[in-house]
Amino acid sequence: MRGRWRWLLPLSAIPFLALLGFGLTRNPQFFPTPLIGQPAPVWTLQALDGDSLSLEELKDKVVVLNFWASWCIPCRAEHPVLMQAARTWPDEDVAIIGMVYDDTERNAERFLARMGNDWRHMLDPGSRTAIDYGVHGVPETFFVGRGGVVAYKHIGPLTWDVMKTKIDSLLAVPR
Amino acid sequence: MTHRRRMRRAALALAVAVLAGLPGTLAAQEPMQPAEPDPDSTLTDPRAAALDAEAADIAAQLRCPVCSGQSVLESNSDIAQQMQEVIRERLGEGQSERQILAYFRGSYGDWIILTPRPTGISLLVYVLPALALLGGIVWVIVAVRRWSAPPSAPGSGGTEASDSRADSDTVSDDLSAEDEAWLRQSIGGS
Repeated sequence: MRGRWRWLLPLSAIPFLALLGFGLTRNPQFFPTPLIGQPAPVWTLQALDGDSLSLEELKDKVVVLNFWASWCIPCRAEHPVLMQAARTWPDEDVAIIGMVYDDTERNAERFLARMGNDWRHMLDPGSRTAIDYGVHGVPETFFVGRGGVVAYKHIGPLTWDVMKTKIDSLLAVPR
Repeated sequence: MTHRRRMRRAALALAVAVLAGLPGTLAAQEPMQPAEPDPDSTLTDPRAAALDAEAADIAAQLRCPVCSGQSVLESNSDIAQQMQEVIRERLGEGQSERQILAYFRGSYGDWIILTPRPTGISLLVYVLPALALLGGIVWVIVAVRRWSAPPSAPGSGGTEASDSRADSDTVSDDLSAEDEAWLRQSIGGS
């Protein structure tokens, strides 16, 4: 590699560096979901308290679908945010639904008894609903607008900012 | 003349070796073969065995959502096991492989498919290696031609020699005597 070919080697490093730069600055926790703008996968499930509930019954409300588990540490961190949301918006506007992910009933109940519980929690045997929603891990939260279309997905623990902006924007949509 | 022929032969052997190694590398990139179906469910019913094999084949094409770089078939995680259950259930309902893969793509996106589809930016995965291979072959051919050109003795006769001299005035002319001696020695020329 002499003479006029000398620039070739350093130059060939540029695309590799560009690719590395692109790859390393992306958030590996972020998985784009194809569900945004699509009808939320329907479900009819048994709640932790024994009643049955379906997504259909909630179609006039903004639905916050929160996948969680008692073994999940970040779920502990976001729990107060859900508590505050349950207090802030009346039940006829916003339905907060916990989806118990890969957990036992007993452990889920113990978690809620300790952390507080103001909303409904559904049992998802075999994680069928979690797979319908393309859940990678917990916590993951789907915001479903009135009419049942998925508007946002939040991966990781919820913050009050996220909760408030998303719910407000969905409530602002006229019925 | 003999050393030139010998060099040509060495270069040819090298090229053959490189090309022969190719199928092995390509095969290594193929998705994992499905494992043996679960013996518990196949003891009695041959139809169940066929279903399990088909389910394993689909599971091998899906990326496990909670583990990095494993397929749903390979993974022991709960979610992967549950996904295998979903696959079996849907096969039992008479769904085709295509329908089941479409279902998983619908919930997890193209991400869930282990083999990238040859569209958009993923197309590079298929095109770049082919281009690199082509470039490498061209490079080898050019290099071999230069190496097998006679040393820069003017008027050494032969049309072949003058041909190669025409396109070699950049590299082989400024190859130092030292380099050339080394090159010849390492190839085995006298």
